[in-house]
Amino acid sequence: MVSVIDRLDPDLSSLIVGEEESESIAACLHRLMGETGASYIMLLDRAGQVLAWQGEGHRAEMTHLGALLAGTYASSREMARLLKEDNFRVLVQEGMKEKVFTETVEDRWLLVVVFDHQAHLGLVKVLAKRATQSLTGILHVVIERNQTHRLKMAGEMRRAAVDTIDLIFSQDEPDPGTGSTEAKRWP
Amino acid sequence: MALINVAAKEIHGKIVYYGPGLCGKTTNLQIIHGKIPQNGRSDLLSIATETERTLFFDFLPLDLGKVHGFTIRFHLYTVPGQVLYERTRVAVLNGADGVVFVADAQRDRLADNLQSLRELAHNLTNQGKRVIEFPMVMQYNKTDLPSALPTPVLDRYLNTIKVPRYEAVAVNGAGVFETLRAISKLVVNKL
Repeated sequence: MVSVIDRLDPDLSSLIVGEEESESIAACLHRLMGETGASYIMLLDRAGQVLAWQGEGHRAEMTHLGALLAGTYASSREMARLLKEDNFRVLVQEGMKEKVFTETVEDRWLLVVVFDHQAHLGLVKVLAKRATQSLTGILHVVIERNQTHRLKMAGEMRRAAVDTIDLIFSQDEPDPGTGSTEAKRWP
Repeated sequence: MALINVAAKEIHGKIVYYGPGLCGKTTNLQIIHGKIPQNGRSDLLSIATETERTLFFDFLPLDLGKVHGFTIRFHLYTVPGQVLYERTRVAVLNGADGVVFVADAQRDRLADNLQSLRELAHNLTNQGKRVIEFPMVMQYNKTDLPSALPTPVLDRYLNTIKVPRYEAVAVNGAGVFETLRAISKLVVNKL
């Protein structure tokens, strides 16, 4: 049987996560957070961009952590290929104080649980597995609704984003007609 | 694949600087990091060897500003250029929305540029992308050096698919932001 993930157009250039799906993701992470007592939990896409997170931490820290975790996961996938493995679905990193558990969601997203000695790895594994199944369902909905979202908003967003980029890199005075942007001038 | 998070009102994209060893990929990110306004800047993360060669990647998150209430965030990465790290380059390229190919304009680096470009095309194809349609910009770096090949010669050998290309002297910032602007526009045009 062909899954929704298999039917995802490889040339699709953007994935739009709607408000309803974001709420479902937040609820799923919140529940996992409560059950595991984790320090924080993140959901990343495979490029390392942070879709959602729960727990303490600053945005900048999460962004860097996301890039490193996605890089580590992508690197382990290449290792799997060299070892003729299908994939390493789960990664565990253990430190003196914190442990990091990473599990893939259909090879599109990464669920990351950061926890300390108060939570047991076995429990985190079982609960993360259950959360991953819920997130797989949400991912399917995101993909099913992607085309509708795209038709509704991507065109307008694209035009506005191109204008913003021109404004940011422009040496000229900003166009007074672009009042809806809050862009910074570079360099 | 770019990510649009409607609830958080964010657009995310990943841009990878690719090219042979010592062509100036890291220098591009260092210049961008040094010149962008403080309020759009995060730390430049470099995973390098003891001799300052890139081991895994350099990473610079950029906050471009808001458009229609949506914040545009780009993540800039470099790959390690040394031949040894071919599989690492595959890992870093994973999920990229656009690529800047940084070529070293010096005559004796032409073969290295060609090899790296072929590898990039191969890796993109393996990741299910159509090279001809994928957002890509080329930068000819070190064009100030006496050993640099003329731009028409570089075009003939390297830019056969005729993507936008820029001459640069990345070490003093020339051409760096023109390149970034071009790839940013190509990426958002694909949203």
